[in-house]
Amino acid sequence: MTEKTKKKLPRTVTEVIIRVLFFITMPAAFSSGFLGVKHICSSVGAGTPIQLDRIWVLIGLVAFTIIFGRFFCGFVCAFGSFGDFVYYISGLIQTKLLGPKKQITIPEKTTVILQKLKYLILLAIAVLCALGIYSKLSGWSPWDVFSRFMVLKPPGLDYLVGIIIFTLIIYGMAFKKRFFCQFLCPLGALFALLPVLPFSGIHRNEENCIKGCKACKMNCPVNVKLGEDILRNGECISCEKCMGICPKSNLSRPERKLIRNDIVLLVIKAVLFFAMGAFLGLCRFF
Amino acid sequence: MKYTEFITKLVSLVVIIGSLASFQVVANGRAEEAARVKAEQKAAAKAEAERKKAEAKAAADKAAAEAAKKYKDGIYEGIGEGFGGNIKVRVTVTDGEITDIDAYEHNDEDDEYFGMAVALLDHMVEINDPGVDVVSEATFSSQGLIEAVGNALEKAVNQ
Repeated sequence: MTEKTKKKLPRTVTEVIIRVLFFITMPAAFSSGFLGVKHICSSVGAGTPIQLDRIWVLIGLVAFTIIFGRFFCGFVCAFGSFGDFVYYISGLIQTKLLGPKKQITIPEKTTVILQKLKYLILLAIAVLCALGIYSKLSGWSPWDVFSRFMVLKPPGLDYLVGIIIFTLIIYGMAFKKRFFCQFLCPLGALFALLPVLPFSGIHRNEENCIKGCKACKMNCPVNVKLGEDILRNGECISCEKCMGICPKSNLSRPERKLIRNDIVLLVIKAVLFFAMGAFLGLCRFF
Repeated sequence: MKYTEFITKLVSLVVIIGSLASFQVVANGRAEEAARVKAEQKAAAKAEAERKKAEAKAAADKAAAEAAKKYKDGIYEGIGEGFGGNIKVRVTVTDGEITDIDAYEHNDEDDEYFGMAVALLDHMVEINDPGVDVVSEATFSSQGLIEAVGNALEKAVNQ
């Protein structure tokens, strides 16, 4: 085992454990959160009052994201974890078939343009909900299809459109990290528009960087350029891949001044989210 | 400025939450108004239904009471053959019961016998029926009276 993997191992193990635990206990958190968005849009469209008990999960997710960044996207969301898993498997297959350096990728410019697509999807769903059309499109949502698989009730033919979209998304996931999250996810679009508290972002001590090192940028699944493109900071899904890869531990969060260990911070956030999620009824076991 | 993006997003979020909150106030007001109107309509409909029910019940009660009564109210005249000729009676029915029987024509009867038989009329009023036993000393007059009252009450019998 090399020095580098030894250093990375505890973080990787912790990340995998956290994500697997959330995947098992809160697989439908993203659906529940987005239900709130749909409920608000439908209510506004119909002119009926918004029922608070139907948007508590959304409020919780939004509040958590404002305070801690998109921790939900990076570690909790089952769809995100599923995408990473598909990409990982696809990577193994591609390495076997094409050789280690020849993985298929999407060019960065295209990526940046495609990242805007999710805002259009959010807008489209919001408009469809407000017009009262969305509820008639049952069977279209790839999230529903995924949820049905998660609860081991495979969807039937009434979900045909959803199944086709879901299959296409899996193809996308295989060739692009976080394909769904950065290009299509309407909840991600909403989170990207939230005012995440400035001290919750990941900061880079650029002066201390090794000249020409691009490890953090190369390793970022959602093409965030740290400290460069301020408009795209909303894209950061707090996955901390950059913090994990940096050879000089140059990337950190300000709260590290309180607790020095990044992994402990990660676990604390996971526990906090789990407590909140369980309180909001997201945990499928209690 | 370093926090431009944060402030822009924060202001947007506050505006959105503010709009949603004002929408909520308006929508709640509307929903309350709608609920009030609906409750009023429901109450009115309920009162109407109850009134109809009460009416129907009263009608049914009345019909049942009528049906329970033996005779229809009114004054009826009847005729029967006595000892010497016809006896005519006038029967008064009040509240479904015989209250008075007046044998107003008995010219051909022997006064003595008829006097004995006429006591039957009180008995008929008492039992609300013409079916009484004849007075044995005045059989014909008795039978005439019973026949006359029965004849009068034929028109009064409830169907």
